[in-house]
Amino acid sequence: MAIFLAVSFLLSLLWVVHWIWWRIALPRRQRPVLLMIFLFGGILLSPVARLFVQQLGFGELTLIQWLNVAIVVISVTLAYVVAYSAVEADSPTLSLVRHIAAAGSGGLREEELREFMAKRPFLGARLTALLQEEMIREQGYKITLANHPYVLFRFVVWHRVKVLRIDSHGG
Amino acid sequence: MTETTIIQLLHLMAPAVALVLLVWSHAALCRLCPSWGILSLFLFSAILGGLGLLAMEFVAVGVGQTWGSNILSLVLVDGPVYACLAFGYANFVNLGQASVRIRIYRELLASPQGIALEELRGRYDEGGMLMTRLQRMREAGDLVFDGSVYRLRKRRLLIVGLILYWIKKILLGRESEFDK
Repeated sequence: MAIFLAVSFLLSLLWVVHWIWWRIALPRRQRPVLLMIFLFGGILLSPVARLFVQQLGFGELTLIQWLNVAIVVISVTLAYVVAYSAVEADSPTLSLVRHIAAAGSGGLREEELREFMAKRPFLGARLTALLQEEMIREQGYKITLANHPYVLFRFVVWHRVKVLRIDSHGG
Repeated sequence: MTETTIIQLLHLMAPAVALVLLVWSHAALCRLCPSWGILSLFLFSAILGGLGLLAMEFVAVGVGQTWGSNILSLVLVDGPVYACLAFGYANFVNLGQASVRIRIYRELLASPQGIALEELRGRYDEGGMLMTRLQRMREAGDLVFDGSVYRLRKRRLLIVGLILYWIKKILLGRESEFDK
């Protein structure tokens, strides 16, 4: 219970900091800033969480319990950052689902769905984001990979091909 | 080492043990049953991971923790941590399946001399993107197609979409990245 209360207190405070920051000025690289707020902010605010738990009469948390608090904060943060990708940029699949659901029992024809997708240039938006993050570059009329480590991309592709043995392209 | 310390350590390790079981069983199932749908493969592995989590909780009870305290730990801490880790892994797997950025990266990796923007658009236009997603959702049972129109069958993706819609409204003050 003490771990749960410490985590709830920390995450609520950190989310408020994140919300205020985002409403004042949206960072250019949102996910790294988000990670920084939750992980470094979590460390900075842990003495306040300690006082909070003590005020509620739970006494001092042990080292293992603090490690447990850290694991909960890290896993919730990672899940939130992963989910945040879909907040930052629209998911084509979820956009389609919401559009089809809005049509009700009448459903939608393929042409209507094509019109909907044509108004949402997902490929262009992703290319712009990759250019802004300097992961690709324009060379004349061509696009090439930039000098970027692509750690996450490499790991995703390696896992898909070598571990899961799925050779087909996603997307 | 005291009984309390052992119980605390078991709770600390339980979600990690469950995640290892999930990742390992998912890799094994992908190789053994490639014809299963991506969602079925993940759900089956997540259940196996969940069983691993429960096994760790039983060990904690065996060491001496009371059932009440154990259930509280499972519901408030260990369960949510495992859910977050499983969610993270599901999204990681889904990146390889559905991410447009990863697809662009793989296309460019295969063409070191670069790809003309028009060619890239031709390979991966919005129409192609639409058909891939409609087919994937029909196979997963999320949509039905009666020969002329598409209708929603399962509401699970809609629920996710609505949650994200509200998060966007609260955090960013907009509904879509294409809102001006």
